[in-house]
Amino acid sequence: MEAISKFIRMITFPELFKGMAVTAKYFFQRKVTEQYPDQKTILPYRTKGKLHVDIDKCISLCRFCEKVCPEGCIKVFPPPKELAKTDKRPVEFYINQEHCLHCGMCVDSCSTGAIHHSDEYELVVIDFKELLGDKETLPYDMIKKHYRWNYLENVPVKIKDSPLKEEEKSQ
Amino acid sequence: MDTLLNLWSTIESWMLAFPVVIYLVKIGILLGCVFAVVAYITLAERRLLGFYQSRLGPNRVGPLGLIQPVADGLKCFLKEDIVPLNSNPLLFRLAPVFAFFPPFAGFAVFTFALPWVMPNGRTYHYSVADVDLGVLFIMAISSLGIFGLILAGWSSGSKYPLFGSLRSASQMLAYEVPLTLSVISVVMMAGSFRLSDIVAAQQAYKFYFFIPCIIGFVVYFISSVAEMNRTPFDLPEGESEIIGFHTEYSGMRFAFFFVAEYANVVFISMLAPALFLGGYDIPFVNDLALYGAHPNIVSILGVCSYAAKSTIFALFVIWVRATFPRYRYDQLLKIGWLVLLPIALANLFVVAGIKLFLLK
Amino acid sequence: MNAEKPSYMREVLETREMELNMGPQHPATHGVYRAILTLDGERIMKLNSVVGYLHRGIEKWAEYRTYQQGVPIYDRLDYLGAVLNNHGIVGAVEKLLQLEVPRKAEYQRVICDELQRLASHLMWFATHALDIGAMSVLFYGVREREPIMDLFEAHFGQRLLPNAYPIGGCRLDFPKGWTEACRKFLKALKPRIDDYETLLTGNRMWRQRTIGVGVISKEDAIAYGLSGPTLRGSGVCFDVRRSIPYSAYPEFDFEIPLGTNGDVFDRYLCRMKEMRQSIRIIEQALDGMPEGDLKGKAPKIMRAPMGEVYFTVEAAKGQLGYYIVSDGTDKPYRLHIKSPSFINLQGLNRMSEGALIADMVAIIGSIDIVLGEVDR
Repeated sequence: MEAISKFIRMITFPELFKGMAVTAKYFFQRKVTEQYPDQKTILPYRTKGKLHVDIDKCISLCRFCEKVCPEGCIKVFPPPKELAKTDKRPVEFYINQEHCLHCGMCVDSCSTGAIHHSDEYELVVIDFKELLGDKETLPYDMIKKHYRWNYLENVPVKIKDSPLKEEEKSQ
Repeated sequence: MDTLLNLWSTIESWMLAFPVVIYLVKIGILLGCVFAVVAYITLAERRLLGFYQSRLGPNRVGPLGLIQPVADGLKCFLKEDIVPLNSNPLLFRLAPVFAFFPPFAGFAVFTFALPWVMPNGRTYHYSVADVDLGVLFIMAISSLGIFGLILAGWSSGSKYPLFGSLRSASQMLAYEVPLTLSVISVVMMAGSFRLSDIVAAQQAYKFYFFIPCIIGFVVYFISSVAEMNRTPFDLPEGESEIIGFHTEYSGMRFAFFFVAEYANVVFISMLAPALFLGGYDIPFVNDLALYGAHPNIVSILGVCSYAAKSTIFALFVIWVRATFPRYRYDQLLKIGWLVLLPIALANLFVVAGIKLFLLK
Repeated sequence: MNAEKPSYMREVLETREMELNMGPQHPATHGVYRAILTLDGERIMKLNSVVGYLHRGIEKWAEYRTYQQGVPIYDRLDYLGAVLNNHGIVGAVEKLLQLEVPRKAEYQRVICDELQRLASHLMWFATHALDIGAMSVLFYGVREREPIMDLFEAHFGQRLLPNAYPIGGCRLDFPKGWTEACRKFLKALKPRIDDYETLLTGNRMWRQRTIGVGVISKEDAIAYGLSGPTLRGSGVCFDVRRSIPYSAYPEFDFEIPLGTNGDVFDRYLCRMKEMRQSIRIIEQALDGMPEGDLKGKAPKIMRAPMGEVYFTVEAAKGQLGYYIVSDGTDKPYRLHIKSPSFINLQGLNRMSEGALIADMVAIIGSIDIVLGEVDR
């Protein structure tokens, strides 16, 4: 009996048809393709995108971000000593986004929340110099895109006029 | 209407004076249709494979991706054509032609429907050359296609294509025999090698030949998948093992192989309905009775029915490709020689028995 | 090697062996691995592995970075199991500095580790099946991996190389709704795995291609130092999670699937079963998630005491070990990575004895190498 059923299974290919049923099942299910340039996904709140620096907030003398960066792609130039007593903002601030690993350790270590990730992820450029950020280019254009304030919640920062949704803020 | 008919009769008299013109026109129409179908079956396969794999497939060029074949062709045409230094240049250039030509030549003997009747009573057959030995011609021409593959692998002067051509040579030997034997069983049932006679026999018997030759049909399906070099028997171009017999080809020469592969798919899936599924016979209806009512309607319905049957066959082939893994070289030969060949032979006896004792 | 030719061949036909370069650019070598095959027909007589095309000098690189700075780079070893690599180095440094990791952080690590193991196994499943020719499975595997990547993105902020854990604990709690999303994903994954088993496990083509192919015996597997599913496929019960327990693994109930013959099919079954066990562990961890602190008390500048430490985790490919020698500064004096892929790859020579080219492809797939880890 065993042998007969085995023989029948051998010549009727039931397991092959079962396999074909599986592919047929997925044929009719919803497709998972995201047609990227047309449909852009909504990124989660914690996405580590391009780095941005709020120059006004930076106290520059600590240089924690520069020290912790594994690729050494951040350079901070603090103001001269006399000036630093009143104005701690950096004289110059460079980030080489080309080398950035997006590991988030600079954001982790920043004690004022000046440096932060944005939701920009399209970092394809023709000239790599476009990825070199300095004091002029690093601050975020607040009007155009929303800020990812303080993504690691390491510092209490007031969120003013942020276009974020309420539940995103509470995260 | 009258002027049109007059015009037609003038053209017809010209064509009758030079019968070769009829053939040329028929060949032109046939090749045009076949090229269009081949172009769109590449798209259909990519789209359908996408659906089986829960993605969308190519849909960016034109509405629903319908201009994709044109874009593909243009891309291949504009690419650089490379002839490797190590290759045998003449054979390297000839091989794509060898692969390209046979499946298209094979279409000549197909009959696609019952004849079309003009208002003046003259009939036109839906075939270029409905020769007596149509099936033999098809068998001969379809095994010619392998020469292209063998030549391509041999002349490339590279090791991976060589493996591809060796595999395709032994695969052709192993699968040509069961394929032919399973076709022979149909020929035995019909008593003729002519394709239109085979269809007519199925109409006369009022059942399709896949019922008595069910084993033959399965053997035919399996060995034709091997003949087409498609999964699970796509060893000559097992992309993940040896990259395939066309590794060294680029641009338009590669496109020739690509088109030939899909032309083969179309060819085999048009042959199968003619042999096993009743061809242009409209299922559940007596065609010949309808033919009395209006012949042209029947012939158009016949073309549609033929197209539907071969589409279903082609879809099944694509479905198989979406599901199964690939066999190994030695397993493939083992199946060909030790499983399919005896089964095909046994099928021959079974069909002979049916024909001898049940049908007479 | 059984290089004996049949007698008729010796007498009648003069045949020569052929050398074939498989790789470094070959679709089935999963990266820039190169095998120089000596072939008789399609049968492999001899296999020479050439590795090092992806050597990036990570071990030397680490000597110039502080312990914290080093963490994100180890993601790049086995880029399909980045979180597990992270756990390894973080655990090693914690062991060196004798840091106490909060229990909640350990649970979180277990959850993320197992998700990563699932992702890695799904990717293995996808590519292994594609090597053997099952084309759709590639897309199914990648499709199932996608939600895991989404979960990582929601939690860590990165999909593939998340820089998951800081030394001493975890950064943040799971975001709102993450736990539910994770449960939902696991619930959806279970029937999917069943589907894939229907597609492959019972399939006669799959069985013919895998059963009895690439066999490595228990003794050989141990002698070659294999680990992970490649070892367990041969029937050796060695899983770092059970044998050298770390993190919160002793608190969970899970089985270690074992094979019997040590062929490709057994390794395949092992990994498939392991995926189910991973789901079990994640569910237990989500249920028993403790309350409390996450970050732990890690110093900002880590000056490690003199000494050396070795810490291993069970990565997706096998036993991943980090060996750190400290000279008392905040940078490692020497760091060595025992990468499972590299050591498992050594077994390939043994497994592919007398195999065909097509088998070779299946065997490489079943070892599940990632060249980033082989070459480091």
